[in-house]
Amino acid sequence: MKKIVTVLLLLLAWYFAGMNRQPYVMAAVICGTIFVVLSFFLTRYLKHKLTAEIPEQSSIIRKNMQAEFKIRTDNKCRLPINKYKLTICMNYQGSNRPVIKKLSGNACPAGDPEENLASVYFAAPYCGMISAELRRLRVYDYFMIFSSSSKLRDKKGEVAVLPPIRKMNIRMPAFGSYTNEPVAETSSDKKGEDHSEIRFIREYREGDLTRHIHRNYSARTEKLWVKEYQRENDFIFDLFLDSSYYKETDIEHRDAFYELVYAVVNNLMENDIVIRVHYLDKHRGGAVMFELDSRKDVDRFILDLYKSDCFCTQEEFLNYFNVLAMNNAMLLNTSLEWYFCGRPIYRFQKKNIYYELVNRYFDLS
Amino acid sequence: MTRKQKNEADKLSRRPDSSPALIILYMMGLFGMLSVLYDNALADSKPIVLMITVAIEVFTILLWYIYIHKNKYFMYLVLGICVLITLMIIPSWGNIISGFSQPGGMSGLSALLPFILAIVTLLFFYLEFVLRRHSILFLLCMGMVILAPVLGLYLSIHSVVLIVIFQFGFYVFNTKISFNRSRLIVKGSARASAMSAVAAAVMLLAAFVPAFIAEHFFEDELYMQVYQADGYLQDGINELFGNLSTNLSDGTVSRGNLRQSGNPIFDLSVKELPENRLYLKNYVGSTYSSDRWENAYQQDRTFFEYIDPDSSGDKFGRMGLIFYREPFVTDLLNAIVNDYYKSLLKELSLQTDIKLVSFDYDYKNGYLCCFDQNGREVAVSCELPNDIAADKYLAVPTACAYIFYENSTNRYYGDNLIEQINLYNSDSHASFIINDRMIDISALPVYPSVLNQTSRSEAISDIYTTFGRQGIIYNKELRDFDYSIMAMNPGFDDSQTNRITITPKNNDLMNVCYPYYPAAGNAFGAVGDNDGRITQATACEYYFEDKISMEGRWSDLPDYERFVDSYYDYAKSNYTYIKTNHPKLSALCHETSLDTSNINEVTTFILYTLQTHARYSKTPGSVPFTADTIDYFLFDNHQGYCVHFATAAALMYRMYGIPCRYVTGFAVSNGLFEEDKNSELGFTAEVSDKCAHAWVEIFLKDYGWVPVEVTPTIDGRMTASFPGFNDSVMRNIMKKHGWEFVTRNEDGRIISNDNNGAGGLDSDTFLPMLLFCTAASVVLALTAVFGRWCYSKKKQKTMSCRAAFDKLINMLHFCSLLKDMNGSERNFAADLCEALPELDPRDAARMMSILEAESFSQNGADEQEHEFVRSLYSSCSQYLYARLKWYKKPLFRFIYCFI
Repeated sequence: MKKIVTVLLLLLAWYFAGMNRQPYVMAAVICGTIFVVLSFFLTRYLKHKLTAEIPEQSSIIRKNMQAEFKIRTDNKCRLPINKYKLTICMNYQGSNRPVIKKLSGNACPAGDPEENLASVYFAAPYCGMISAELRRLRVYDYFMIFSSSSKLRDKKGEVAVLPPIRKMNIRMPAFGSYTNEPVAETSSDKKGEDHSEIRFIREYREGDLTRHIHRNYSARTEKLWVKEYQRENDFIFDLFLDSSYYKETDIEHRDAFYELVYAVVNNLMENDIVIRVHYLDKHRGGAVMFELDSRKDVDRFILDLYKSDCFCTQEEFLNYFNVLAMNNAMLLNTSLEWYFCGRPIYRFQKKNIYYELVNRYFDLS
Repeated sequence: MTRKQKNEADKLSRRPDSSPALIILYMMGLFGMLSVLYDNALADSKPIVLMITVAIEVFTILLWYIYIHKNKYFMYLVLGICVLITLMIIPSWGNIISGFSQPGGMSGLSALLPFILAIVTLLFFYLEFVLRRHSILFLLCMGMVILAPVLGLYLSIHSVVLIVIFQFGFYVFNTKISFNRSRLIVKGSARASAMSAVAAAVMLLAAFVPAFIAEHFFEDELYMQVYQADGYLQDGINELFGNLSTNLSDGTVSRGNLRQSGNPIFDLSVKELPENRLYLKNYVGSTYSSDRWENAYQQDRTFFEYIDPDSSGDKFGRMGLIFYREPFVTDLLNAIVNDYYKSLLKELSLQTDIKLVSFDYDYKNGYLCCFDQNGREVAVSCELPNDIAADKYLAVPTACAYIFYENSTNRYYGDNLIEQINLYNSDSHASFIINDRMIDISALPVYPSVLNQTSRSEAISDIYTTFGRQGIIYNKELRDFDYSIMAMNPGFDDSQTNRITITPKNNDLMNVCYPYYPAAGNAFGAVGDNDGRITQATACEYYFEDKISMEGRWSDLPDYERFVDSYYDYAKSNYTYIKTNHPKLSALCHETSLDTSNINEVTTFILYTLQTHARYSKTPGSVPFTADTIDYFLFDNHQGYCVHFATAAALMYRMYGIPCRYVTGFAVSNGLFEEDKNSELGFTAEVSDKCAHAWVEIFLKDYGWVPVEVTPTIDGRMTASFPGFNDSVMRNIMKKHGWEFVTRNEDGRIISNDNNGAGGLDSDTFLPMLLFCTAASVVLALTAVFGRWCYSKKKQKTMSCRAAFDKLINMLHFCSLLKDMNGSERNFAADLCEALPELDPRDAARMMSILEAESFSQNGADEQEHEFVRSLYSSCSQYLYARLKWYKKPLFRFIYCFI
């Protein structure tokens, strides 16, 4: 449309200039025509000079907050770019309904001290991983008559949307009665405070702290080994995440499941319980165990859960986990059911989970 | 988004754009627009306009300062100004109203002017800066630039350039950035917009330079394109509406360009090849008003009533024909019609036993009333069908038939029974039976009596052309009516005269014409269909004198002197009349006193004035609505074509009291003729509308109306000549008065001394314009570069070590050093020291460790480390600068590295 309007405007001005013999207006028309032609080639030139990327390829936010997403453009040309349009494809992991968003911005020329960094904000209503991909970059000339676009490859980033922290009312049982094994294992996450004795060493698993890696032993064996420390006063609590009940992949259900897991884990941890979370990750081809004794661990675990492929069949799940062990521990499944020592505690509703988590009383004794 | 981020974004979105580029562009636009006012103001008003310009510019800067730096007070200021204006207007409201009510009514406007200007300035500022709505001012400016010529406003170069730069610069500046259709606020985007606007402005200014060069060197070609496009457009419209024939000679003085399609009008055959251009006249103008010359035939009616052949005798009539062919026609036409009506009434009275003494025929509305001796209307008025009314001759008998047949009660008129009516359109008569008696009314019996007189037969031949010119449908009853003009010249000898045949093309008799000094000939003939359309046009033939050798021929005739004197008096009283006011032309003629009895001196002055004030151009452009065509042509635009030259010359002749008429027709150059052995006459030419021309004719005793060519050739030569006047006479008179023609090149541009110019981008305006645009684009570009340099220098003082390192890499690459490295290599520090021996290797190593810490450690580099890298960057830039070649140094300093 702009092209048509421009041509019409130039034609009109040319006609009036010609019919009324206005040399200056005629010169302005010629000038405009030169500029239009120049603009056409300018977009072709600028297209090759501008690239876009996501500088922070991963970031973490909380649910229901505005997610900030930074996009940096690199203009290698000495001319400023008045307008570019970037097509961003955003998608929740597991969702097949990607959202296309358009960002239009401008960019200072190369060598300019001003950084071409745009922060865009969007809502994150569900927990999970949001992947963003820059797909197409369209560069406009100064009057935005012509444009030229190029495809972007491998310009991806992701945003992890963590569940909010919910305060639950849980009545805990006496410690001796529910722990299957009163052990004193610990893994302090504070540097310099590690005075515990090493209980044993084992192979590295995803989620282990890097500082627990036994460097000497790992170097000798060319395998990663981590040190298991012994803690004195904590109880270990096993939590199994059974995701075999759930076949669908709708975002809302996943969101509810993540909310539930996060809330339960966080609230249990407040009682100085070390939680060992067990779940199946088909990506890694087996069971995964996370030992959580701090909120940082919980966040790391939930991020790992987001990235894992934990949704499986009942058979698959049972192949990896001992039923007896599960009966003596806590279990959360994707039908939003909570079991403790084989006893159902509560079944949550997807739509009311926030209300139920906060307002209900859960008796584990 | 956290609350803090949201607040920051809101704050950022509310913050006005403080870029100086914005206000500079705005001021440029304002200055451009106010320049238009200044350029078009009267000389007395220019100081006021200048004051207004300064006041508006200052007021705008004040508004901008407050808006940017005291933003929260801005709205109070706007309200305050509005209140102040209201308070100031209310007490003087009565005076303002009374000022308007006074004659002229402008004093009220002048009292209101400051307030209006303040409000308009405020409004525009609010639109552009606060609301960021550029569309209104954009349309206003574009409208002003495009419509200014139509409205008669003069646009100077700086107005156009500044307005265009403002328009598009601001347009670029106001480009919105958004995310998902909602406005996106990004720190630094205002800077990018400002830089884009400046870049666009510089590019536009730079594009103006080749544009002016193109306009200067291809001026005519450029305008010709418009003119041709306009022609195609008009042709298309005409074709669409079925209006294919064009009347080239209707006395209109065009206010636009000349469009010539090249369509052939007629074939011309001559016995002898004329020595000069052959002028064939078609339309003669008498009084000029509203860009149109009235037809001279109407003008001469009163005179020819006086010399009516019935009263003055055949001889006198013949003389009239020779000298004054065209006006005579009108008179004779009336006589013919009157004769016919009289005979018609007589016949009707006889046939119907009703004595009809008068009638009234309304040509326009096409009805006829007859009255008896008692003044009683004996035939009711009837509105005739259009096809009948359009044809006067056929209309009359048909009308009578209709009156008696259709408008009588019960087919009776009185006691007379009207039984039958027959209309014979082909024979142009009607018959009807009244009281068992057949009455035949025909137009034809009238004509033999007319044809008995030679002068009248000649007149009838002109009826065709007269009607043709006036666009009236040709007379059906005269079709195939071939007749000869008898020799009217006592000394006529066809062997001594040239002979010409004009054969119209495409049956188009609208533009038929005849030569000067005709002696005898056959008139045009035409065959028409029942609808009055000409189906066949026949050629006409004239014997004429192409060399004026009539002197003394008529002096032997009785009453010759009396006739000539009487006509000269008549011409002097009628053809020196100027109806309209042409202030500039009148002032020029008033200032230059000439011997008005010396027609040669007057002619020379006119030719001199026309040659020096204007050049020939078919595309002079449109005359503004407000301007007088001739004053604009001579004193503003300085270019035009034949109709403008001829009109100006005719008016000047008249201002000096010399009878002069404006003529249009065809000027056929002898080069157009080709020898044609098949032709009876020997030479033929196809005359198209490209030969259409306008000139003037002045009245010379013994010669009648003689043509004077007043249009210069494209290179500025004047070729006028008439009995007693030629080039040498003209040169002598010019020498005597110290007049000098300007010398023009093949394009019509002045290449010697003259100060009047001829419009367009002539040498006196072209060079300054080119310099202005070049200088302006260079200054703007340099200002932008300098501004960027200052800004970057300032930013360099606080940039991070990573940014400094990036810049260092760029700098090295610019100097063709370490081009294959990007700084992440392990041996980069060593290579850097090798490339820059002045650099201490320890410093380089430290810089690399700082960068490593900045990139990978949690705490990053501290301020001292940042400062260290910055200082190292600065040192490196100095080392590199010192070793650069001279032509790379400015680029390095101002564009790439900002040292």
